[in-house]
Amino acid sequence: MRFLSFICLPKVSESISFSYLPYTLKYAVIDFRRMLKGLNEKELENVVSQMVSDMEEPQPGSAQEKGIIEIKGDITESNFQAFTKSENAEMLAVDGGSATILNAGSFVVAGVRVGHVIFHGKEFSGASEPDYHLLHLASGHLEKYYEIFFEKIVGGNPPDYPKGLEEAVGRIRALMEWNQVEKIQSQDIPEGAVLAFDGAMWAGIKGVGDLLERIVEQAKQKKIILCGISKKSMLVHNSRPLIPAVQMLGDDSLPGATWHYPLDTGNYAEKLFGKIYLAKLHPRSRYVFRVDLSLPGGVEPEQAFGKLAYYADDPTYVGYPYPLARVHNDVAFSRAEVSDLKAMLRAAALQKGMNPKEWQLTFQDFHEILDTGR
Amino acid sequence: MVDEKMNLGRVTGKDVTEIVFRAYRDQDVFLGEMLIGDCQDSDRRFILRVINIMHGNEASESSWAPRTAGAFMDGDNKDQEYHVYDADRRLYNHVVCAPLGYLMGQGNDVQFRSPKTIPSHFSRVRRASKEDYRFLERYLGDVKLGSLRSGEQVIRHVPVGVASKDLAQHMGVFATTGMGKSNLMKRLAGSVLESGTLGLLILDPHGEYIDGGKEELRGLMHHPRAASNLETYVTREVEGNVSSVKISSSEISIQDMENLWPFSQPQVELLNAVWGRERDNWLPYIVDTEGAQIYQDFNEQFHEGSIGVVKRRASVLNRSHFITRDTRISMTKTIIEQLHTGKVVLVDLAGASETEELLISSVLARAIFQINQSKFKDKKKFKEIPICLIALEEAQRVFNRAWGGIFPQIAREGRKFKTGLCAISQQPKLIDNEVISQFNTLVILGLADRQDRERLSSSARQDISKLDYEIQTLMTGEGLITGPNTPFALPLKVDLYESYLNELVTEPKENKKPIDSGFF
Ligand SMILES: Nc1ncnc2c1ncn2[C@@H]1O[C@H](COP(=O)(O)OP(=O)(O)O)[C@@H](O)[C@H]1O
Ligand SMILES: [Mg+2]
Repeated sequence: MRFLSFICLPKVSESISFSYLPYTLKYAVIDFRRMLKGLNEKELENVVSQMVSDMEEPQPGSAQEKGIIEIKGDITESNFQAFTKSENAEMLAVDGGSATILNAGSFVVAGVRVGHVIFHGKEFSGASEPDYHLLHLASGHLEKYYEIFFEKIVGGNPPDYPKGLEEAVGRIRALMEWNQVEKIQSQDIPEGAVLAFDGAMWAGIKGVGDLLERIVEQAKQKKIILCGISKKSMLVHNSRPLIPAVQMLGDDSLPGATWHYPLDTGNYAEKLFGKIYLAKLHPRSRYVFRVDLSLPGGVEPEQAFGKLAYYADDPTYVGYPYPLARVHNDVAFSRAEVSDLKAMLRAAALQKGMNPKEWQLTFQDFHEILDTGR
Repeated sequence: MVDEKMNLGRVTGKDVTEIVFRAYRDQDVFLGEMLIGDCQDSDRRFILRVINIMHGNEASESSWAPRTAGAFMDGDNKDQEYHVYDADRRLYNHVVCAPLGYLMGQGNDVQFRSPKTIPSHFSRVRRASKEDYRFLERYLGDVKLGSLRSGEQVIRHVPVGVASKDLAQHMGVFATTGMGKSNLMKRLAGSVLESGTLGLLILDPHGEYIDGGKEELRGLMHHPRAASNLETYVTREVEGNVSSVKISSSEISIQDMENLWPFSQPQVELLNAVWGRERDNWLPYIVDTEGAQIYQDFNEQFHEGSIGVVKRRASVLNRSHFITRDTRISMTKTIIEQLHTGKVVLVDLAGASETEELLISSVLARAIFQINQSKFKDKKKFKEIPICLIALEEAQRVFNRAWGGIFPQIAREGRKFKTGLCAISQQPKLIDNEVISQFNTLVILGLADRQDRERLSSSARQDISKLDYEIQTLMTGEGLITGPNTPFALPLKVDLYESYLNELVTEPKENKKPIDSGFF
């Protein structure tokens, strides 16, 4: 999917010059694997133009929406369910990465990148060109930006808006991830394949319920196992973190086994689009993950977990399905990549007439000085 | 499109003395292999010799590999399997190379340059092709010994040898026992038998050259050109067209005596006094004359004890079957004539004592040196004679010091008079440094001893210090050649003499005339 044509915000001048492009490309050569891959140059152009002309007062952002869920009922040994690793599996894994490339206080330039990988058995068999956007987010036109993404991915107008620059980046990334899931689901996927993504299967953003419903329905129809695996969990029990309590009990009652533990989420159900489990996917895993599952008819949770466990045997990522680790690493922004992007944007902005001193004063950050002394 | 079998990886960095590249995990790379690094910014093709291979991985933490191994080990104990996904991406080999130089230009215009720069970042590294080796043609030497070698691989279409024109500047053949020195010398003699480019004198203390010495081996007499180009002298009963070793007592010098035994100062003075008076007859004089008479003859200058020692040692020589007082019977003149017509002369000394063997060797070497020296005054005559190469096994015995004896003298002065030495030894560390530095062509086969390698690396024409590990790991018949004109230490696999003979019989080659161009 491409957003380029409609990211055309008020202050962009009509006569866009591409004279800086050779410079950009020169920087692109520095990139080792993927810098700018999937990114459209026109979008880049727009970001630079806004950067050069847009200098407004910052507005205070607000805290991001939290997803804390209080789990009902007692934690008991009888709820643990052992399962065995399956002999074979297929998995598609989706993840997103984002980074703040420039921060002027009043606005940020952020990179957001979402991609997926496909594994047939133990072998990697393909990856998408990432969905990659450079976002120029200023407090002034945050809403506009968000509306464009929301409209394109979910449809209609958003019921609410992100409160602050960081939250905006987070929401846009989440929308892009859901969008990626929906897109690949519509492709040719064999029955019984696992489509895994990073995070929970719940409507953390107001108004995305419809989208999630669409996705869950489509997965069921195509007999795909849809599953979200959370690296960090907000689950609590009696106001205390849930996972350690379950993990302690599980290690005691089913030592050396792989198990899952279904959770009773009570009245959060209307926001959730799958059932929540905690699962230990490898006997030697030190981690237990929250797994949100939406299963097609006739598929038992044990079968789904068997397939996840099939991929959880990489010695580096014991207990975590490897395809998710791979896609995470593929889309993540490395520090080197962020600094290359920064340099590229600076060169482009100076070419467009921005004064080097102005650039320096706008983006300087005392943290960098602090860091050099560490 | 990149040929997958040839493509090995990309350069990751380092400096002009060492280039490191990342290699595909599943590509076999061996120590000593010669690879090509194609510079991405120029047409330079770097020739890289593999000197080390290490494991590499993409993990950001250095403890990743041991921890992963730990996981596998833990799994082994608990019957659980692990699987490294994307292994080709996450694991690789780091290959450390010594840049030998680089090539520029194509086809016949290709030029070799010493490694004074580095290939560009991420240059592609591949295996060398036939075309890449073409530049070597002019450096490969006309006295063939074998084929070019890249690691363990023998490159049959690139024959390698030593350059005959450099051999007056001496050569050394060094290897631990059993690594193939004698085989190499037979192979070298084979080339000379074919071409007649050199006069080659082989002094063979072990009697292994004539027929191979063992049932399964072949000797020089089995060479198809032996009948016309090989002359053999023996010290024992041997069947075939051979002559007996005989030297004349008049050819033995006082210096030879000094090389055979240690003499005190008065004893040396006595020997010199006898020589001053008797000249060529010095040995019969000492042997035949009573001690008291000698005492009188020299005006009672020398102590009886000294006279006794000198007499006893002289009579050891006198008793030798190989020494005659009849100057007409000596083989020396004939041998030199044969060498001057580009023949291989084999002197089998297996029937001689060590004293006799060293004496005969010295006498022959001195005679060659002196005659060549005398011919030098007549430019025209001198131009006609080929370089005479004197091959000597167990050479550490005569080269343990730089002065004294004919061999060190030839090492120093022989080059001017077309008299070259081929020193063969399993213990180069016992050879004097100054002598070794006179050996301009070195053939180094497997050497297990560190001191032996160090002695050579300090005097080789090319820097071989980085090849230390490779020299340690050389297999029988594998070696390196450094010479005044080799662009770098050329790796070679010496032909097994027996296989060489077999191939020679199936495809006979034409005899070439002795070549002498370009000596001056
Ligand atoms: N170039 C070679 N290729 C194959 N085998 C060889 C080669 N050189 C030597 N050998 C084997 O090793 C044995 C010992 O070699 P030799 O030349 O006698 O060693 P050295 O003289 O160094 O003690 C030979 O009999 C032969 O079997
Ligand atoms: Mg030998």
